Amino acid sequence: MEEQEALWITKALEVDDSAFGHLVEQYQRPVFSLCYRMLGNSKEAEDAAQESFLRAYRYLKRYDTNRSFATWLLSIASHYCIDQMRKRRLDTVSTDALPAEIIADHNAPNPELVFRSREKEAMIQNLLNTLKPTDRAAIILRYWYQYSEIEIAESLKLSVSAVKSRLFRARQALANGMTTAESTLSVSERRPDESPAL
Amino acid sequence: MSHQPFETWLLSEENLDEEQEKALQTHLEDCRQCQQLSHSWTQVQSLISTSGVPDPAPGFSQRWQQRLAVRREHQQQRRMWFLTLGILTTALIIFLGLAVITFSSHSLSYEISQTFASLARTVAKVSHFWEMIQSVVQSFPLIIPLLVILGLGSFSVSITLIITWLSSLIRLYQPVKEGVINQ
Repeated sequence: MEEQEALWITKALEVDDSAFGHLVEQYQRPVFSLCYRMLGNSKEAEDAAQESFLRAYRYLKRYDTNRSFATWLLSIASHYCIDQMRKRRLDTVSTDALPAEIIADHNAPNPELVFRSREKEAMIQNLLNTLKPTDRAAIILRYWYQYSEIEIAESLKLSVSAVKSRLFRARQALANGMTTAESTLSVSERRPDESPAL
Repeated sequence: MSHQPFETWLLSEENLDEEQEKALQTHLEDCRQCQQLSHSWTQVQSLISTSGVPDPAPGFSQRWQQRLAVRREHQQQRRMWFLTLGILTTALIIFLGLAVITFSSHSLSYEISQTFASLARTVAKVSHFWEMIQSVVQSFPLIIPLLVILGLGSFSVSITLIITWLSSLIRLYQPVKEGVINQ
């Protein structure tokens, strides 16, 4: 596969659109997933993923073949999403904005399980939306892509110590967000048991 | 109650040695805040691990090909626009340059040069007159005493001549009178 990928890259460097098209086909899912986690909705994620591939194709000459192509590609997508978030100030996204087809759980034919799965997706996305763009990118690369702190530092052009501190701050924010979400949930679940007179 | 270093141990994901692990467990038994933090972080990790990977809508690759074609067309149009703008700007500069050269080669330049020449002449005359006044004023200390001496001399000579004339007239009349008396 790596040989095939290297061949596609070589051909793409000679402005072979179909060769780069193969790379798009291969990496569309991880790039789209990263953009979706970063931006919080499928429309913007699609746009960001497409734009990331266009940029990658445009700047392919700058790609260092000693590095992983996936890491380079995800780095471009991360930076693009961070820029977009800063421009559009997407600090919070309503859970209503989450499209059903994206968060559907393929392993759950049961409607209740599908609903629970959507609820979980909405919760994690809302938690991610509370993080600053670069912190969010660090968390996504760490937990969805299992990147090491060194790889995150390379991708986001940060020092390893900066990555460590950003990850720590982001974990703290996520845990605090979860505590708040749980306390809100427990209050809303108590309501049906309250006296109808109230 | 201090929550450090336990809060850091809970969130840093660093491997703890046996002693640190034991201290953390002892702290968690007593501290509700750190218990809550530990629970919440575990919940977040669980959510992350069970969250699905979202798929792009089908036909992503085809849409990318279309976008690439549109982007190239836009780039081509932009290049053409810049080229046209460059040509028009160059033509305008050449036109303006030629216009300036054409107008400056005839009466306009002559008129301008004549105006400047007459202005220079006026300035030279004013300057010369001013220098003359300055030289006269500077020579006042020499001229004034000379004029005073000459004036006084002339006045003295005139007075002397008048006195001489009057005395000679008196002398002329006196003998006639004396002769008339003597007769």
